[in-house]
Amino acid sequence: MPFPAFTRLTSPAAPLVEDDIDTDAILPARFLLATDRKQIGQGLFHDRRFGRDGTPRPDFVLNREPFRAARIIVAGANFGCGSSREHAPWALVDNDIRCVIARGFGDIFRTNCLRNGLLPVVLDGTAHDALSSYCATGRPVTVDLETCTIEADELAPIAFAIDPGARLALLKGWDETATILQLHEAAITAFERRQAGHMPWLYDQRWLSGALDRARRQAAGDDAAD
Amino acid sequence: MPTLYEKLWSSHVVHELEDGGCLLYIDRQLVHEVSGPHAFTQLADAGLAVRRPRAALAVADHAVPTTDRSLPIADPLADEQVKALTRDVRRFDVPAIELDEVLQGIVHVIGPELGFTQPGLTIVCGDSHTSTHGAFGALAFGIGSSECATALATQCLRQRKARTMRITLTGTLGAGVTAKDIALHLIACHGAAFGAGHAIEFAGAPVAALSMEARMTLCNMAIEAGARVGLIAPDDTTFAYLAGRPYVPQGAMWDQALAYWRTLPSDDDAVFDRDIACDLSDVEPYVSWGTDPSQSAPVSSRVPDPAAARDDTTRDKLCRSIDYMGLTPGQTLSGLSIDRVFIGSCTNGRLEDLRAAAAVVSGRRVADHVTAIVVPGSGQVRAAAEAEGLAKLFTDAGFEWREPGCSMCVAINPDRVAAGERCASTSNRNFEGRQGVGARTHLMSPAMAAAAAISGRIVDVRTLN
Repeated sequence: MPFPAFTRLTSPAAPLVEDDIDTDAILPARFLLATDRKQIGQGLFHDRRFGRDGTPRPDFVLNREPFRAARIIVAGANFGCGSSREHAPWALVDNDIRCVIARGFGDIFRTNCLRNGLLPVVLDGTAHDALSSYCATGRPVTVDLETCTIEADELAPIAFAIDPGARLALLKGWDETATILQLHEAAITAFERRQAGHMPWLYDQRWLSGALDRARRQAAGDDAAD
Repeated sequence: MPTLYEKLWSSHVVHELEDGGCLLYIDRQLVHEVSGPHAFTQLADAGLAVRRPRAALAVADHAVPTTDRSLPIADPLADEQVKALTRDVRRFDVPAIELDEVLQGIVHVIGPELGFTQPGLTIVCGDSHTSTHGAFGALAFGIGSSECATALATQCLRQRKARTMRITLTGTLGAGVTAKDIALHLIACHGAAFGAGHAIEFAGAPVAALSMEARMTLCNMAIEAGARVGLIAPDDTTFAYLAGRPYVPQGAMWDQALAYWRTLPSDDDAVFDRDIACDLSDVEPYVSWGTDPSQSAPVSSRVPDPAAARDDTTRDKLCRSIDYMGLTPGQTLSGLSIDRVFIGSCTNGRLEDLRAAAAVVSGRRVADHVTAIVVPGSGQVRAAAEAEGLAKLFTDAGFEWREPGCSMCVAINPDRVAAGERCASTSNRNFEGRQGVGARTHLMSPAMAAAAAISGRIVDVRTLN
């Protein structure tokens, strides 16, 4: 799905500097049943943001000024670990959060971010410490993907590294499906021809088409030998 | 000298991209009702078809009720998701298993059961526990919904090669200690992210001695170590499991496949980016006490004291976990009273798991204050367990015997743990709210969960008289 290109973003950065914030915390599983994207956004950090009675918890960072309008989050290690639900980055983006700076990310979550125009920045050591302290003041932070730097008054510019393909995809707002079909159709067809040569069992259409019916017959005890 | 992972990777590279990534060919995809419909919607919106419909297999598992299947699904949102999947698979001509079929079950249970999962393949699913299928020597990993759409439309994904890690197990596993305990032990020792960016291969004599079910439990939990991919070299145990299953080739094709599968194990001189050794001889049954799987400990141990934490971040996390779990630092894990027991999930919902639980339950009763459910991982597991008399054994003991599904592992169906309740669970995640808002999860093996059900408290299954 196309998303707005990411170039440069300036916003207060909400400090949520905990390790292992999982995708169940980012978006509790019960919101996975929602088919309406708007409802998914309402679930962001729901059980951290709201009490059991539904009132906002004043101690949660995104409920405090100026972080209610934060478009950047600064987190600890292993942010977005756990479930593969793409609903987690959807919920962040639906709340206008377009960048997470963390000591590390869950691998699946990181990929899901890149496909939704959400920039995951890995930052560690003293740079992360300095930024965490700075952003607690609520003063704005600028993340520039063109130059791969984070700028904040008082702090020296912080350079960050990102996979070049991911960077380009974010800068251009590329849709991976369309890109693959446009550029690599011939290579895919050639691969399939080669693979069919040495792994023909993967291309036996009759066998594959009959698999579920064979399974049904086996389960019913009709022809265990098949 | 390549590793198993490197062989799987290099045999699926369609195109090397300029940025160092690769276009990787995806042989098979499992589809379920939570991530699937979003993917199909993306295809429909873009006017795309599924490139190879017979390379996919769909089933509803996450949101489905595990009680009477003849009744309509009460939750309108869950009902709509299941119906959306049914509509989508018809529209896109993807083979699917219906909810009322005996073949229905959790994607990661039915894939292997049907032989859809095979060595040497790349397999994806919009579910993080897709790592399970690595137990067959397949490169299998969880992806998000939009990657599902890309893989359905193109049979490809843009991927970067992972670093390789080998965990070599040595020693002998003690009686009453299982693959689940190995997984929790490794994650407790090395942390919830030690596998991030890596494909983990489990190796060593104890791994070769594991059944396919136990291997699947181990690979299933790789994602809880942060690794999208868990792998075990295919061997005669693997091939014996696969022979005769519906998707598995027969005759000359089987011979050809088998010859290929035998070339897949890591070469003797293969070099891994990281090597870890683990002696299993002293590993005890494990129980999680906190809110991520790394917060697990041998059942004989105590809840840690945050005062001893090495830094503020660790201390804050410990305090938060202990508070959420309603525990006290220094409290023994053994003896902790529980309210619920859940035996099931893609981690521990297979026939061998139910047999292990049944062996503990046999001749005993579930404690009066405990509600205990057994949820087979698939209809075929359920039928086999019934044929063996396990179902009667469980129900005689006071367990509820359910229809297959993800159930209380993901709690987006009627099976939920109430706020403040403590659940002994054979599932994979003890995150806050995972089994229901305010639910307190203790991960453990099926035998340990069965022992907890009988005792009404957490207990070392090896001490149960």
